[in-house]
Amino acid sequence: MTEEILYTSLLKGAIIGDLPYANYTAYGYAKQIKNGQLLVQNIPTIYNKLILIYGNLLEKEEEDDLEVLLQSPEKQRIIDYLLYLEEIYSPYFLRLISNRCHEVQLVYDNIASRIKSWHFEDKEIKDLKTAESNGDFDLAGNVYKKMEANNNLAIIELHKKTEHPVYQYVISRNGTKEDSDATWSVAFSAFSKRLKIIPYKPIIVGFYEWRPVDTDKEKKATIFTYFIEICHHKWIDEIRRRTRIDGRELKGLSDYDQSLGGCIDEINDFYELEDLKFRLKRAIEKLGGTCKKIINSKYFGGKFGDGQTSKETAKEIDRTVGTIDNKHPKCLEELRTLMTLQIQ
Amino acid sequence: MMITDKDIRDIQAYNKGLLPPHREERFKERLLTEPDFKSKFDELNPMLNALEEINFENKIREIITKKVIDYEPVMQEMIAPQKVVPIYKHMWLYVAAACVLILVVIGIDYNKNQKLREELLVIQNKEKARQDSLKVVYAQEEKLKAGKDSFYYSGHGKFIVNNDSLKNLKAPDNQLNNPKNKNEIVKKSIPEIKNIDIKDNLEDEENENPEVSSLNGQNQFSRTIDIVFIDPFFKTRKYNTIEKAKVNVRFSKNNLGTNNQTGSVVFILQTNTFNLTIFDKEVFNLLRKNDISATQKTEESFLLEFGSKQLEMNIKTRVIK
Repeated sequence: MTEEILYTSLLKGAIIGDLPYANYTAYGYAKQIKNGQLLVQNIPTIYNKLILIYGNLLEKEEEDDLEVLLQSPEKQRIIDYLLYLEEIYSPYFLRLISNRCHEVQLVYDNIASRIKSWHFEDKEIKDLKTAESNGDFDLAGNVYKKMEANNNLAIIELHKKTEHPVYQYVISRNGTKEDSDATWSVAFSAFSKRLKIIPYKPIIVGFYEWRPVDTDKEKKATIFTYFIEICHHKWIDEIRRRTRIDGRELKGLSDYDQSLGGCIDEINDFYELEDLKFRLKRAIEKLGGTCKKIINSKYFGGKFGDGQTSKETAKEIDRTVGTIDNKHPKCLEELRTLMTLQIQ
Repeated sequence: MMITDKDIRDIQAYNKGLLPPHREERFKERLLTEPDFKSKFDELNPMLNALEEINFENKIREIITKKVIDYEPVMQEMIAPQKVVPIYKHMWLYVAAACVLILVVIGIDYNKNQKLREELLVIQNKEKARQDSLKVVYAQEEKLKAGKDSFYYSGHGKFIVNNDSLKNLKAPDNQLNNPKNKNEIVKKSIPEIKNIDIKDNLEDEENENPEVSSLNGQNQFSRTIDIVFIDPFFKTRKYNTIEKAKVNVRFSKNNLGTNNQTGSVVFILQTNTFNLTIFDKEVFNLLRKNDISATQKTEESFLLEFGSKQLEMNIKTRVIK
């Protein structure tokens, strides 16, 4: 994978991100009910799945109506409603992906306006524009899935190239393998936010200059070196925090992040968020039994650690879905209180 | 004010820009008109952002530690941004050019061999004709001795043999030396095959006496041996019929929804005997949403059934087994 592909894949992944994509789920259910493949008594079980995917389209009252409707014996009404959901979902998805696609195009235009020798011709963005102009939902969905896959492959590629140097650095500074992985993921989170502002220009074949646009300082390096440097700084940050926990004095922040391309405001915001994350993790550890389980399951559970639905959470901790939905806001309140106490 | 689970989901969707326009408007309106909700929003928002951030980091950690790739190898299809670089930097271009050159040379060589094979086929066919003619002579010996013309039908056409054509006829050495041959006298009197007339599919059904007709029109139907033997060979291959049976149609999901060069949807049905290519978006959408069965109706058409709809389609391309 070349640096260009790596960069554009990560950029698209960062901007387009995780969009909900249904892929004819409601239509599929409607067809199953019509053909008798989904039994009447099992229809209410699809409610959570529908809410997970189509939930953003509905108000609270509409969600309640849907739940009642799914429990009713009127098969045709259920089928009609599912088809209606499908009908309004596709334009919604297309609008979402189009908006994000325009953001990517803006970044491309911005780079092209400053670096004359570059002409961006991105097939996927082009395909999405075609899908938008033709109202082709299927094409948009396919391109989206491809972009998502490419983003994951790019992350793995970046990790493959930078894993060892980061590991060496962390290990040589009292860290472990787990620390190394955690540092990598935290650094990637910061890196993905800067992708928009670190365009590059070629120096010689295989080497590029990653240059932040907001500062006068230039950082001449490959994208991998640039990323490794962020990892180094993240690990230093972590050591500082650990030092503070031990009661020792925290040294002032160095100016290295400025050299990486952030302006002062951005750095301040960034440290605020980092601090918040740190306090949040400690507050979750202090939470009570059920709340801790609910928060962990709803926000960090699942296959990829990116959260589960209320139904999945209910099944995991052996409670009803209603209990989870009622307790979830209260747990967040409790979490916030614990975080506030940490500051005091 | 107690915030609900739905409110939290709405805040998350609002932050990510995932609310549909009408709901986004109402959400903003609610922030303006309900101070309690606004204060809850302000309190929870930073925490939800931080949760989202940790969530993202977890996801990344999961990807890099497990390296779970459930995806097809799509990287080859990706097109990188084009950049302007001096040509000498593209060493791979020279390598590719060399590869193409090698392939061309191999192709020419292959083509030459192909021609040689065809020539060999012609020679073999000529030899076959000679063998057939000899068989005629052996079989019709008595007729020929009585001064009558004789006919012989082989798989390659109709042979006409008369006394004139036998004047310079000569049997090949292998025939003469074969101890199993019964008619030694005839063999010795056949010097060489020169004037055997061969006709391709000359059966004239309307003529009551095709033998006489053929005899009279002997010259006008004369053709060279090369043509006679090569044509039927290719004809047989070209018009090989498709077996008439119900076929199971299966989708090639890789081709669904892709674009061809002209921009219309391409969809390929793969059956056990042939591929059917469809360039029609409407048909594609119908096929996409229904179970399909396909039955061959005639040799040149197919009946596709999906749901309650039926569609008769002509076969445009087919791959012979």
